[in-house]
Amino acid sequence: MKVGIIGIGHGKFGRRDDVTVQELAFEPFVEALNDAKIQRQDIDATIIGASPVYMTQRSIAGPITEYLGLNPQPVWLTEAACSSSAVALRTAYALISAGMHEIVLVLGVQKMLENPTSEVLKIMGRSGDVQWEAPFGTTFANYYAMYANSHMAKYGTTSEQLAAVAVKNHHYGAMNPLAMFQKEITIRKALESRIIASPLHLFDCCANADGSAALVVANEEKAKQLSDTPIWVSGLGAATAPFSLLTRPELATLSSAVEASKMAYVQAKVQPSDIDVAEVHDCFTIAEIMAYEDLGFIERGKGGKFVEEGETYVGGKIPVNVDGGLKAKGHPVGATGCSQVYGIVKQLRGEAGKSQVDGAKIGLTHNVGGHGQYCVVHLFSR
Amino acid sequence: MSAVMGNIVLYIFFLGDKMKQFGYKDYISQSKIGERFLKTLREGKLEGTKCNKCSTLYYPPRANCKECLTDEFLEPAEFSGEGKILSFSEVHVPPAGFERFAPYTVTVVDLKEGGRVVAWVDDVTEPLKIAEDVLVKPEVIEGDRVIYRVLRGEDITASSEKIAVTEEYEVKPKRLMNKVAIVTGAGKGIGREIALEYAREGAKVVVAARTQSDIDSLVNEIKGLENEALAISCDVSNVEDVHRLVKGALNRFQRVDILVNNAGISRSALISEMTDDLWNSVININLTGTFNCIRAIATHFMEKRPLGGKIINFTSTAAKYGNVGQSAYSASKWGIIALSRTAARELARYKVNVNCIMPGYIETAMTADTPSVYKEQTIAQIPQLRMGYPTDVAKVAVFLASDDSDYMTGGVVQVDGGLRM
Repeated sequence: MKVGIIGIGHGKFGRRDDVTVQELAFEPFVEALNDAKIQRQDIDATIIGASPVYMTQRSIAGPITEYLGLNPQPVWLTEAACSSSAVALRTAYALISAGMHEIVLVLGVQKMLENPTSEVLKIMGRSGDVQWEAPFGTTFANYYAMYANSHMAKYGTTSEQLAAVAVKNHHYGAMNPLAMFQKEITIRKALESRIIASPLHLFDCCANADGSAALVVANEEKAKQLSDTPIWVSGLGAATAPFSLLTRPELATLSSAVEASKMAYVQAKVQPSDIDVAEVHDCFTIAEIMAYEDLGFIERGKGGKFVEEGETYVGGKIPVNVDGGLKAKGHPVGATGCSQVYGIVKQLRGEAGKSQVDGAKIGLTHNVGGHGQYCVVHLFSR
Repeated sequence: MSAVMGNIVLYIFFLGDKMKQFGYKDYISQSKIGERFLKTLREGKLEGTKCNKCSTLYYPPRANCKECLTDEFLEPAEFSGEGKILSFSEVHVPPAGFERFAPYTVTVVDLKEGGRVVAWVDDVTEPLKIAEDVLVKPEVIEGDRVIYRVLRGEDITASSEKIAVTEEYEVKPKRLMNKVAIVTGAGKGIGREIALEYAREGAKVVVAARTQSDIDSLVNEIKGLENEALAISCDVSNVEDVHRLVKGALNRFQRVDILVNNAGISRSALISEMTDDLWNSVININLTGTFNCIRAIATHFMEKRPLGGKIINFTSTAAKYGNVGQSAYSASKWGIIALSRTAARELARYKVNVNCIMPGYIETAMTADTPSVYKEQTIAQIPQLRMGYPTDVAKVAVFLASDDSDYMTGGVVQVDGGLRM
């Protein structure tokens, strides 16, 4: 049995001091409900993808479903750091496939900026192993910087190539009214921005943000009955890699992404070259370059050149992050997985406007949790 | 020894210096393995574990074998520290608590025997290279802190003691050259940092505290900076002790130019539970002790006219705010402000400047035992979003002791990151 996405919604990403987390969840919920042309009573269960450590409200699933009027249907939370809502979709797929539910709401939501910066810094500071790594001042950017240095040493990747990722994603972010940053940048501006963790500059890093996105997921029968343009989940992959850099075998790749994408390709019976459009987890520019290679879009070590030559723009071999990516949209960790799916569904429906990839039939999302310990890859088709 | 090596060993010195107040022990000693690990690091050993069944070597150590799923065959195993750099990055935007170290370089070192370690390299003079051979050594600092130091270059077994300051070391003009300073409460925390900073700025320092061993080790450290220092044990609440201190300083250096009244204690109890002894001990040391020292030095300063002197007293944001449970401490610290203003008026004509420093939430032994919840809440109230460090206060103490602050007296300089504006 197939599982399809019949409704999507996406709130504005950025600093959202104007709303509570419940109100933030409400925005894409209503949009997705209207898009699917269903009533909330039609939703059998809700799965919230969020990283609760950032939020003041504990056990966030309950307050959100109350606010959305989804009682008494069941709800729970899935957490896998930055890939929390991709695992929510994976869970929804399993429930629908098992015949337990017919229609499931998957809602990714995150308020990261409601805490004082000190609190956010402290939480971020614990992203490494708190016993063996964090005491030495490791940071998130620091991990990806170490991947970048490793990639540069091994394959000759350059800072200009990293900057090319940022330039591309800001180019598309400028076309996306829901993105946190809607401004084009230049290679020079990126390279002249301050160093966060060498070799990564400010423009190599995505920004913490508040945001939400929602998906209405249905079984084949309901999907065909309710939607003229269901987008099918054609392949799913999920894998892990050692959490600590002290045991990670290789730094210039995320082995979790390699494993997860293989699974998804096998299930969907497609090759990397069949992908028409992709959303990859560019939390740092080096992450996008590593993703090209991990997902098999290009041979290992050629990722830098791939973006530099424009192959991931619309019109290139595989357009990537043509909605702005995490880089320009901002990265509300729990919402990012759903936001990526929103972008791909728009593309496959032919509703992506200026950044539309002509005739896109197969799309991919690649959502990484933490600094690579989780990776979730989904494939979609019309 | 190559010049490159000289620089390398020099930054290792700085690393040690910078890491002193680095409270990472709490994180590591979360388990028995962590505690043992710290203990062996203090002994200068890199001790991991080995499973005698499957021969897997673990660094950092593990409490149980990942392969055999048991702790039955695990034994301690010593690692050489030899390894290669797997990757590195210089961190410019640090996490909370690391602001004062930034930028700093984090490396992951692949150890020869297996396992890895995250180690720091500071002030990288020669670019680091991936796969570069290095030697990782633990180093004990201040008796209970341990750091990993990374040795590089041709001679990675070189000992840091062989290298002193190189000619590349930039010489800045010293602001307290040949001045003589008395610093009370110099054994630990802010006082210790002030004494060291004064010595770095060229002053001869008389360090006073109740614990002889603390000030003896400080004097040795100052002598390492090639400066003169004298340790005199002193309880500032005891008038005879204070006279002995001033007399000892004058005998040795013939004059005193700066008095830093930093000695102080904090004893907490709600007012309803505050005993006379508790109240008196705080008032006697903090307020009366400051008075005793000012009185003892005043005549000397008056006689020195027009050379005068500088008196720096320590109040606290607790005085301004009235911390719960700190009636004696807060009252003593507010009293110090009034005392300073009187002293400023009385001594102004003798060219004596009397000013107060009002530190906020500073990372010292005094604040070390604060419950972490309170600590986090307090940090969240600080606009600069971090605790202060003794060095933040010491820099202001240098300014108030230098000619740069000649037209300041009776003032209170708040050093609190904006905590109690």
